[in-house]
Amino acid sequence: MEFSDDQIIERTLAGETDAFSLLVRRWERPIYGLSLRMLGCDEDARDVCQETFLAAFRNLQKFRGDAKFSSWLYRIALNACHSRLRKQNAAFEQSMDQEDGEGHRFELADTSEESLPERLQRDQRAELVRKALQALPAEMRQVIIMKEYEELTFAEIAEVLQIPVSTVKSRVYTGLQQMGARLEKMRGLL
Amino acid sequence: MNSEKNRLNSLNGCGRKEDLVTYLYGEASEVERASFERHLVDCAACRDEMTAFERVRDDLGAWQLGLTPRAEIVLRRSRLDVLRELIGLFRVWPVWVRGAALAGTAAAMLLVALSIAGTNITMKNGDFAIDFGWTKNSATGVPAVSSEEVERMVQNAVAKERERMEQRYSAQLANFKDQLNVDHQAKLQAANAENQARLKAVQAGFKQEMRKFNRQGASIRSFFAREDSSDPWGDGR
Repeated sequence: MEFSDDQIIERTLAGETDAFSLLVRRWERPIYGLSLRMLGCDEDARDVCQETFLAAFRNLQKFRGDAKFSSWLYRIALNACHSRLRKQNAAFEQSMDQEDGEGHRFELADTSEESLPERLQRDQRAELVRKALQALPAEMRQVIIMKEYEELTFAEIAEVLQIPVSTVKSRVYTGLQQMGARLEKMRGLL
Repeated sequence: MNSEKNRLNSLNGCGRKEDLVTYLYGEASEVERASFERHLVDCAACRDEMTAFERVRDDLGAWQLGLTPRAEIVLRRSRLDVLRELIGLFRVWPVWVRGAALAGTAAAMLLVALSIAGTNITMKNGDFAIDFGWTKNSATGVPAVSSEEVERMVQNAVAKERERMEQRYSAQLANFKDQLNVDHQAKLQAANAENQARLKAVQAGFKQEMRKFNRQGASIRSFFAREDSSDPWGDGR
């Protein structure tokens, strides 16, 4: 029997702290994915993931239930990402001519039906996308990630970020424009 | 909200940027979709933008994640949990260690109780005598309790303590079984989440192909729409 988020929260607040692990297992992948794509670094993404769930556990009593638990969790994760970006001086708008020498690791989906040339081509595209995303301003990057990868609706994104829906659409539009321009330029450099 | 819309409108003169992204992501209602598709027939800028955005989305889809690292969360334990853990440690000690610890605890408790009662313990002729403060025998020097009786008292105290500990062990075992069950459920959920993730990766690949197909379809429809509008009478005029 699968429990809803609200039911698990209720059990956790009643003293069954181990029940919280069900929430962690359910949401660790989306939170990790969001963090990785925001920060571009696997190690930082893992740290943010840990921080997010610890913060959620410590502040669970403050969760009022008037919004979805997932929206609240995404907001905590994004705050942690922004905090990390501010500390790092938000220098992820890298020059496209510079090689990323840190060797950022990120796991790619293993579709074993692909041939090796297809796999290499997809890896190359994924690397271009990663760089282009990192070059976007954080405000646009987060809406693109939530729309494209987390598949949230415009209304859900607006709830997470607590901004109007029209602002979300505006940022998605501009973000896609800038991504398109950067990807074209990167391909031109290859 | 209006200032945001005006800013978008001023970018290339077309006032339907929000409608474009709404349509692009399939969140338009039936009426909105039909309206925007009619607009696409006449607006080359929006058609080009749609095509460009579809390409970007296709590229974005190339970055899919594989397996997610497991988040290990260590939650702070309450004092009660710490106490339970200590009792659990006690449970794994060998029987003789537990017995010695129980006997020592019982003997210490008995001595504390006796000292509070004003008892005097002396050794005489290889035997020891205990003189309780509240008995009249202390004045005559006659031992009030023999060593065998003290030994019996200690044994009774140890037996009672053992019974109390066993009750606690049973409760601890019941809790442990509940925890195992919760952990098992968590593992099942994790396995399910991983399978869902793999399925999602396959679905993402399928969506990419569908987008390509839709893009081609949109191009074909636009082409025929232009053809129709340039020849409204259909007779080559």
